[in-house]
Amino acid sequence: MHDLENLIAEWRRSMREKMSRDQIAEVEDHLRERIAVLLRQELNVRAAFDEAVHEFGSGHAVAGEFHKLNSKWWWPLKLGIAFEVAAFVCGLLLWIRLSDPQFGFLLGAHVFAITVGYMAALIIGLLGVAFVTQRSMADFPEHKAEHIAAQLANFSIFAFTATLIGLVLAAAWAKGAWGHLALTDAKNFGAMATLVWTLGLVTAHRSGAVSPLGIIKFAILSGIVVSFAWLGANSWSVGKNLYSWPLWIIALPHALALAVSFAPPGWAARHRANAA
Amino acid sequence: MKLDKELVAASSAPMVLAILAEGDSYGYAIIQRVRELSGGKIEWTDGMLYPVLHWLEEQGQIRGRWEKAGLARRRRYYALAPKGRTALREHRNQWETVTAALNQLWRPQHA
Repeated sequence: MHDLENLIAEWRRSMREKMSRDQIAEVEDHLRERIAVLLRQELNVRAAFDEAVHEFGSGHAVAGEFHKLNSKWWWPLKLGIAFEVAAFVCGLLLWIRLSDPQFGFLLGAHVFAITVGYMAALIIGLLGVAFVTQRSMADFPEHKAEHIAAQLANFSIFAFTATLIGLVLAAAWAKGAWGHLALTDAKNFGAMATLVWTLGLVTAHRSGAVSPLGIIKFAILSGIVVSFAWLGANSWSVGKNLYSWPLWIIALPHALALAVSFAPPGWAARHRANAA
Repeated sequence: MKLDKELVAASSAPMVLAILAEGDSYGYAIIQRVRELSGGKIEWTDGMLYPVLHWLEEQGQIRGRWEKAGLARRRRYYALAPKGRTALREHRNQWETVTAALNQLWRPQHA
């Protein structure tokens, strides 16, 4: 049996690049059951394992079929990308508007980068909210959750990079305009919190230690973090460059979605069916 | 006699739905049931069942859930969803139409 565990572990490793964790677990259960039958037919462990893998068919072909299923784009993701493109255009317009002798090139570039970065982080949170809502209304296929978690990690890399560029540009501008860095500014803390959070999400995903639903919860929290980063300073009237926009409009739906994410899938649909 | 690949592919979704209409099941057991029902004439490559199951799940026709199987193993069970029951009725009507037409053509006077 020790040999079988080694063979299965080796097979699992070879599949890791091709299939998701849940897909591997499902196929592994199939292989183990088939191997048990073959062992009862007097085959040795190695022969039974080889026969079960052969009968299962090419892992590459099966992974290709799974990939076809996953390659369809989730519609909220398309909407999220559209919003990000809109943020990019708005950021460019702000850059042009602010790149005058009074504010300078650096401030315009900072506003552009930070708008694009914060918007990406906010979209990550909204995608998490969309997932939780859809999952409440109907049983959401688990392999989709894994695919969506991977997309959220990609979005996080983008959000992290744009926010980091925005933060560096803000520091350069503050040094030039005020003669010192605005390290203790509330908005600076917000940007750093966004950086830490987005990097945390990517690390959690890459480590493989957090489940897809865990990554999605992480994403919802990213919406809350960025709403504090973007609008918190305004809501509490601390820091510089305040503009009015209520923080809670963004943070509250995210907090609600986070609470709902702990409910079982399809709970709202079942509740509605019971009520009818 | 082995069935054509195309026919096997076309019958895979109604076959899975019909098996799940008998009760919840999982991949390996579904394949065994297909072999048993066809007397071994329908030969599925084991691995090709799983993308079909996931596709049906994505369509909302079946529902998957994980259950413990032994000490450290997980097994994914599938159940027919209401949408799958409707799809199965539709499949059944279509297959019955095709077989009825072919049966008429293959009666002795047509042979």
